[in-house]
This record gives sequence, structure tokens and C-alpha cells, in this order.
Amino acid sequence: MLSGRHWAVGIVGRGIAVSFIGATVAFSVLRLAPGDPVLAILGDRATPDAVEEMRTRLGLDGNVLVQYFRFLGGVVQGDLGTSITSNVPVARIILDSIAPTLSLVSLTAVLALVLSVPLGLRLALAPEGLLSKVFPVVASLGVATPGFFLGLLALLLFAVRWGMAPVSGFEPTFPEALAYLWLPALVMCAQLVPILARVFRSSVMRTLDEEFIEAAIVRGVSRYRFYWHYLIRPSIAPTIALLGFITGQLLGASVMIEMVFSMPGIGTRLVRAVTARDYPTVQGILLVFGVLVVVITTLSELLIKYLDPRAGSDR
Amino acid sequence: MRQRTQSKDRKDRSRFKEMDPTLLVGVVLLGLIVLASVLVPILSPFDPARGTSQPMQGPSADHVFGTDNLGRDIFVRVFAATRLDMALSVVAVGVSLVVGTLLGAIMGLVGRSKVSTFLTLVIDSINAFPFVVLALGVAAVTGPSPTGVLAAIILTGWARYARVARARAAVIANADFVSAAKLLGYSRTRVMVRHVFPNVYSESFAFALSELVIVILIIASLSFLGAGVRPPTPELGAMISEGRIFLGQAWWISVFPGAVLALAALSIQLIADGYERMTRYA
Repeated sequence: MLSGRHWAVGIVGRGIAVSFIGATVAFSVLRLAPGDPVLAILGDRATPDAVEEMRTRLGLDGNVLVQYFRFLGGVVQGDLGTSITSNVPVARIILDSIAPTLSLVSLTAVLALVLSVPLGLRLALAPEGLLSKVFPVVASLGVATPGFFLGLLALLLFAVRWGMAPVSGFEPTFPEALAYLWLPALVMCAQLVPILARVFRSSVMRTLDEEFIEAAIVRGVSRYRFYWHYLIRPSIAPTIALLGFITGQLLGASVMIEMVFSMPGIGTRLVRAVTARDYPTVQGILLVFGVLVVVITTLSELLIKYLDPRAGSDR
Repeated sequence: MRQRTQSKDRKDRSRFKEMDPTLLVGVVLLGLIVLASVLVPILSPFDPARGTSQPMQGPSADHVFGTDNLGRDIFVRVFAATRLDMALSVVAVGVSLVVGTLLGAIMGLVGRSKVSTFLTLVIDSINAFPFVVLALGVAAVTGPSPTGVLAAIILTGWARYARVARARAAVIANADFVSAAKLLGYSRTRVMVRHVFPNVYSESFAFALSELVIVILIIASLSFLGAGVRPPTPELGAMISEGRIFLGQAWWISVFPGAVLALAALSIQLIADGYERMTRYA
């Protein structure tokens, strides 16, 4: 265990190493998956010249090592190739579409935490209460219902029937964006909150057994101090670690939700690129997803360390 | 030591005759769904592929779930689709379970070596991606068909089992009964097959059950996005997507496939929860 600030350097360094590997995976998908991308685009009856040209455009010419270093070189310079279907640089496409996705995912993460903490507290403090009896049933339903289906139902009821939210689209300015985001974020929370609340509940229950809790009650610390300093802060680390891990998966869920709510995010672009077999775009977006997951995990590790310095000291 | 706790487990489990209620509900629910998905396509007078009735009819005695925009009976299509989705997800999970667990167990047992360090790197980086996203990327190459979906899910999924098995095998490789077996001069294969693998397998199986929920949802998701099974083949995600534009006028086209998908996922989820609780606390 490194001392002082060095732990931060360690966490960030590991993040950089893993994103490099993520880039390698994105690179490999086109090369290792069964099927020839060139023939998939052009069809079986393409002329050899056309095949050769497409190979060059996809960066699939030359041997694999050469391709790999060319790809990495491009990534470092911010060049992710050019879309086959629209001839726009992939980096441009990503920059244009990342804002809705990031806003959606961060709003969902915040909302999920805000909902899970009181819920988990309540579940831990009143294990025999009505909420604790209903919770497991609702939780299983929430986890098992596919997000895109829940999204469709929400869209039908809240947007189409009751007109409480816009049916599709996005506005990139701050207060307006919330009008578009609240419903999809809530839908994503339906799967997230049950998991987080359950984890937070068990951490709080473990914290309740600690001697400092008893000491705090005996000393009669203020209600705010008791909940925040004695109960929530020592219990929150596993929940945030999980949230960090799940937020990565949340990026996956956001692909579905963006499609349902017709948001012009990076997930929508990925799906469009997949169905159009626009391989450079698929590769570039995969890379971004990999890097985003790493960034989110790294940030959550830093946050955990800040909130509960005991965490991860055995690493 | 390990073996003694194991045999105690087994005795306790047999005493635990009455099943965990969650498990029971899950098994019954899943049984009903499987039964329906086998029987309905055989017994129904309607063809899941061809529309012979009035389009866009609401649920009625003739068409329990109504008909879609092409006049096809949704009831028979839903269960034909469920059969396909169940079969695909069981195959996908089965193959990734076997491949991933074998690889992971061997890696955990062998410990540090160049090959296993490299494989660890591969596994961790595959797992760093959201499952749907990577599967979607692979599906772009393998193509929108049932086999394409299978390939995409297996190529992405095996790494998740490998991680679980590697961690477990690394613990077991240091257990006393494994050292004892090695001291007795058993071959590496025998230690692997008889002593390590059975202990790794039980945990991997519990993990596979919870993965089955995720995989069935991902197959439907890929098809919903147009990157999986394509219409007119009946598939739950594809059906939900087909009914999307009619959601305002004919909610049943999307809602019934979605509800059955959710029920199927829920039943497997309950089984996974129940199984885990039984093996952990029993």
C-alpha cells in the first residue's frame, strides 16, 4: 500500500492501462469475429478491386501488427477513422452524440443514489416494516423487466397518454435537457435502485453492529451527525463501488433507452452503425464505451477512497 | 477440512426437503412458460408465420392476445418466440459456461504463467465492456441471424464465467485436500477433474443461472435493435419492436411479448435467487 497521495496515482495509472486494453478489444472485434466485414458490406459478387479498396478504407490491409499500430497511432492523435456510410470522421460523430448519453447516465446515477440511500436506510432500520416485505417482490420485477420494454410502457403512459414528457428528442442546454431526461432516467433507475438499495441496506446493518454507533447513541449526537457521519458515510463505500461498476453496464442499458426515447446519443449512433455495417464507426464507438467505463470506474474508486479512507487498504 | 464441511452441507441439504419458496414459485412459473411455448405452437389453429385474420384486432376469445398489423395471431407468435429465445439463451449460456469455466479453472490452478497472464488480460478487458455493447459490436460482424446472435453472446459471455471460475479455482488450488491429492501423487489431470472441478462447478452453475436472465434479455434486446433475430421470425424483442409504431392504437402487439419476456426473465431470476439461497444457507 502506497502512502499519502500516491494511491490516487496508482488508481489513475491502472485506469490508463485498462483503457489501452479496451482499445485493443475494440480493434479485435472486427478482426476476430467470424465473418469477413468487407464481404458483408460489398456482398459476395464484388470485384477484387472493390474488395481491395474497401479493405484499405476499413484499415484492414497489411498484416495485423501493422494495422494495430496504425490504429493505436490514430487513436492517440484523435483519429478514429471515417464512417463508411456518411464519410464523416468517427471522432466527429462521437463528439456530436456523446452529450445526451453522458447527461442521461450521470442523471441516472445521481437519481439512483438519491433514491437508494433513504430506501436502504429505511429497509435496514425497519426490517419488519411493510416496505421490507414489499421490497423483494417489486425489486425482482424491476430487475426482470427488460429496460427497453419498461421504457416503451413509460413512453406510452407518461408521454403519449398524459403528455408529461416529450415523446422523443433532446435539448443540449441545461434546464431544458431535464424535461427530456427525467423519464428515461427513472426507467433506468427501476433496474438500478433495487440492487443498490439491497447492498446499502446490508452495509448499514453491518455498521449498526459497530461499537461507535452505540457510543454515538449514548453520547446523544445530533440527528444529522448520527445519520451522515455515523451511519451513511461508513456504509456507503460498497454501494458506490457497485454504482461505479454498474454505471459501466448502465452505458449498455442507455443504448436501449436512447433507442426507445429516440435520443440522438452515442448508443443510437452505435445501433445505426451496427445495422448499416459501418465498421469504422462501430469500432470507434466501442473504443469510447471501453474508455468511458474505465473512467467511471476510476472516478468511483477515487470517490470511495475519499468517503471512506478504510476502503481498499488491503489492496 | 473442506471435505468435511462439504459432506455436512449435503446432509443438511437433504434435510431441507421442502424447497425454498422463491425457488418453487420460479420453477412453477418457468414450467408453465416452457409448457406453453412447446404446446401452443403445436395446438394452435393459427400459423405464427402467416397472417390469415383481420389485422389489429384487440384480445378476444379467438385471439387471446389479439392480432398484429399483418393479421397474425399474437398468442401463437409469442410462444413460438419464447421457445426460440429460451433455446438460444440456454445454448449460449451452456457453451459459455463450459468454455469459460474450463479455461478459468485451469488458469486458477496453474497460477502465474505467461499464458495465464495474457488470458487474464483478455478476460478483464472483455469484462470491462458493457455486455450489450460488446455483443452488439460482435453482432455487427456475425450478422443478424439466430446463429449470429449466439456467436456474439458466446464470444462476449465466456469471459464472465472464466473470471468467476479463475477466482474460485485459485482459492481451491490452495486448499488442504488439493495439496493432499497432489502429495498422494495423483496426476495433474486427476487432481483437476476429481478434486478442483467439482468445487468450481457448483459456484459457476449458480452464476450461470443469474446469467441466463441477463442473456435472455440481451437476445431480445439485440433483436429489438435490429441486430439479432430479424422479422418475420417470431422473436420477443423483434415483436416488441414491430409493435412500437402502433403503440398508441394497438398496445397489445408490443405489450404481450414484453410481458411474457418479463415473466420468463422473472421466473429464471426467482430460480437463481432461490438456488443461491438454498446452496448458501442450507
